[in-house]
Amino acid sequence: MNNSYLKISSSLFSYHWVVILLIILTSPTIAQAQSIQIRGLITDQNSGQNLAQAAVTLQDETTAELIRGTSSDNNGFYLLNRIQPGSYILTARFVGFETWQETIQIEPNSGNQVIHISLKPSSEELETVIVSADKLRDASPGQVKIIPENLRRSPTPGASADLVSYIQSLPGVVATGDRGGQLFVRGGTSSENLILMDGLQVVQPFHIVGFFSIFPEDVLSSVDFFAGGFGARYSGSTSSVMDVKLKNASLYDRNWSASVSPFISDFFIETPITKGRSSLMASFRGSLIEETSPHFLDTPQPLKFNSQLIKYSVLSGSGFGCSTQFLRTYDRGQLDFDLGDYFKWQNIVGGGRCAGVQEDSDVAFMDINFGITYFTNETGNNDTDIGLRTSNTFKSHVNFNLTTYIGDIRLDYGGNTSYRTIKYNIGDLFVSIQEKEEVFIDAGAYITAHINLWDRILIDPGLAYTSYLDQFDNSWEPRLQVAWLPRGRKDEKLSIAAGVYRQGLVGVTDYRDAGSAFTAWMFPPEPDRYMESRQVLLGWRQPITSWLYLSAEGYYKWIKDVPVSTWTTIAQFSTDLSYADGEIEGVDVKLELDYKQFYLHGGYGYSKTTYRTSQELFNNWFGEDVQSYHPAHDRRHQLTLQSGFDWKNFSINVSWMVGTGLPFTRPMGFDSYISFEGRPPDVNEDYGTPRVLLEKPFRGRMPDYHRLDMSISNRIPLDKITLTIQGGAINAYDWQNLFYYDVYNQRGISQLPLIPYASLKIGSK
Amino acid sequence: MHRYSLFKIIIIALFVSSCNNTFEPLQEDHPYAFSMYGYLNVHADTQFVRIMPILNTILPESSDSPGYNAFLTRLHNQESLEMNPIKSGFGSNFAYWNVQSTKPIFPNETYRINVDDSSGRSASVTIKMPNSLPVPTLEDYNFSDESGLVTGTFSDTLVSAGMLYEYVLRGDNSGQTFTVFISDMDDGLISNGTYRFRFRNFGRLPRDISIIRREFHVITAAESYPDLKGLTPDEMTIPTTINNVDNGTGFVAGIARQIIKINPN
Repeated sequence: MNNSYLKISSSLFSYHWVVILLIILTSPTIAQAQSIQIRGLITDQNSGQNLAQAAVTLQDETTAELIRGTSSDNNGFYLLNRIQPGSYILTARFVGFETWQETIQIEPNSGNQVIHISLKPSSEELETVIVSADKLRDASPGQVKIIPENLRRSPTPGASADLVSYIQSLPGVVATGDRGGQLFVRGGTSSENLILMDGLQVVQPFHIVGFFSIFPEDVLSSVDFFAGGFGARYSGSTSSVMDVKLKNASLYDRNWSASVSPFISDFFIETPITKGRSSLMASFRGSLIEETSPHFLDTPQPLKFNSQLIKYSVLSGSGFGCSTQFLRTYDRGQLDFDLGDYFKWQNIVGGGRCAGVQEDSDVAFMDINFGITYFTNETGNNDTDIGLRTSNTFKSHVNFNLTTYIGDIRLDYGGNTSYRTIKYNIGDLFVSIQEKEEVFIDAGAYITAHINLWDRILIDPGLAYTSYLDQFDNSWEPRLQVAWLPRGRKDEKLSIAAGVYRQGLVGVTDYRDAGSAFTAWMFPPEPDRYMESRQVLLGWRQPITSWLYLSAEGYYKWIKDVPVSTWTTIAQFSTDLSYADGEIEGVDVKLELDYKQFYLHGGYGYSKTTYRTSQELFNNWFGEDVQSYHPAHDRRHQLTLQSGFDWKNFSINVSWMVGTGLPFTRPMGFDSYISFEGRPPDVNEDYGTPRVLLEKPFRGRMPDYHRLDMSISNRIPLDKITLTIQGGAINAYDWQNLFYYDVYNQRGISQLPLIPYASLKIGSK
Repeated sequence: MHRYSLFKIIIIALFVSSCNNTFEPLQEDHPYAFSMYGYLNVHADTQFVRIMPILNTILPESSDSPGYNAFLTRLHNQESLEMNPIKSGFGSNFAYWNVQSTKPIFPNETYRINVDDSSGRSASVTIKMPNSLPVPTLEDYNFSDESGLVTGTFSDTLVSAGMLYEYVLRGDNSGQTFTVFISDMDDGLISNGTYRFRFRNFGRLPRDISIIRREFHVITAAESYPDLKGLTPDEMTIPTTINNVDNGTGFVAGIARQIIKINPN
């Protein structure tokens, strides 16, 4: 044990040097710009929040000729390159803010200029739909940009809109039901999603009641959701990335809100600590469904959750901002209400982040963050200690991300190192891996170049490297994104992406019964078997009119070494672990109509996931060594329609989703296996072992999934507070959706029926 | 007009295509009708065989009748008799059914058990019986360490030999008894139709028990006996691995078993 620690420690030092060397080599300090740059951050004066997609122009002061134009990136960073000496007008615009303008003088011998721009919120009421449309459409392949205004389009039985309800409505995203908190993106498993909150990893941010997460609309600034094809900055995930940016609290005003519904209550507050310099935001959520359901539902809902999220932000005043975040969550409940099996999990996340622009540096933008992530989950039975399984993972990390320019080529690069421990006890789940505690260190670096050719062709090659300090093979992951903008418009483009994605830490869930929310986190049982995905995406985004927008994206993934359960015939919940390879193919299509206060969005996702696994029993059982099947999350077709409009202080939203049924393994029947081991059996004494006579894996499909949710809300401004009343219904036409089918007991476990609800939210004006 | 018609067709098609709600949790079309386990023993007075229909639930619900008829046929002369059902239960709601026959079973002959029910489902198993097995000789037995020596002769295939112990736990007054069978197949000398088993079982028995019955079992079989060599436990449970039932699962063997009862007195 000590030797392995020494080995890890000494290796860590050597790998730190590799990372540092890589950064030095890639740092373009030698590439001095030949002309003058103007760069800086664009922020919201009220909160200090960096503003992405703000328009920046530089005009000649005398002729008003447009010299340069750009828009701020995701970090709110802008850069105007190759500026000649002269007198200019620098202008910044962003919807919802007053236009900022300043005259600047560039001298022949003046160096690069750092000009931070702080925009003042406009007092006029603006059409938020336009803001969302603008922001949504400048996205990379596989990416969906989400802002809080979008979330209200997915009715939730709480007073605050929630990120997870909206994410579930996107094509390519499959949720197994209205409980369990698991999402499957474009054929990947739920443990292949990387979820970041201001750079800190959150293992399970979705609550056990499927409408809610730790991210209500109040706490969000923006979300970049990558369903695939993501760049080299994100490593350690083979399916999707959800990069959540929390908002900074207001630096000048105190705002608060409190709400209650039959499902949840929450409280939110943001307040300046030192006016104009630091602020604090806090969000507290707690479920009520367990307490209220006996009074208005036929079936009590034994589901409970709560979460606490706090963020403190401080501005340096010189282009740097720092923040610290803390999150705690707790979830507990039963997925099958009739049996005593429960699931329980908890997240504890904390850390800090500093980001900004340093004057007199060739690094245009830098972002450093560090933190800890702890996640534990457990499953067992309320009535007995038998079947108790636990798994927890701890991670501490430091990473940094830098941006610099060589001429017009932008380089994003950075490094990371993390220390992890995992511990699990899953003795009666996976037979060959029962109880273990491991330490794991990795270090990595990445670089991505952004090459813009004539504002028509964008090429982003990248490379991610991860070292696992001799515990596993090192991983080199090349990635490429290419976009063609036929008319130079960012919202009209043909794009392709390709890349290699690997995941060092794997989450193993026994999906034979599909109704599990327990994941055992572990390192690959065999060091040379990474979970891997090689992806190719091809997408087209096309505005049809100013109010109608079409996008379509096809994808193909080759997947390798996905941990799956070994098939057995004995009706028990323990199994061994096997691996599957396979392919995922699909297409996502979105049609978005945004006309004044009305919207109608349609999304269709086709996805076909095929696993192939070779298991010892298959030859005897089915006459073939390899079985090919579609796993439990393979929803082949999914259609979503969302519509609504705002009228005065009323808002109406409707969301309808229909999807084909999920696969399950159909049994042919049951018998009792009686063993001849040792001697012939005595059938008068021995009942035998219950056995399920299974067809080939996952050849059956559950019924189609339907759900219509609707809500109407009225916002009532009063003297000192604002009151928002909402009424609505989930599963409005009371479709009986199966959550999963228990083949052993021949019972279908249904999701929630029609539930009307009302909610009330009060808050500061 | 055409535009609106097309719109309607698309909407209707969406609903129709989305309403595939025929849900069949069990696969109806499969080759299994009944499960049959057990053996026929040329030296037994009564034969018992487990016969159960393939179930729709994991445990068999209790019923007043087995729901099937089972017949034992001696193929040599086509003599056939109906086997008597016997109900056994566990818990208040679950029960399984065995069938029994007291007709003599003759060595070196072939028998068939047919089972069918009122819905027309049927299954059968053909059983080849071995020759008679001579009674083994207990050469020596020491009760202090449960050691002994047994010798004998056989024809056909020797498939099992070992000691059966029935015991109670010391201090347990509930009356519950347990049995354990300790195989000696790996330790014996078996060649040219003779066997010689020397064993010492004291260390292989649970601690703190009182033994109330000791028996040495020797079993031979014809060729129809499950070959378990090299099979993992998971492989053994695959329905097709150990199966001699047509239209069903399970295995019914033909054996010759001799038992020596060993008593301290």
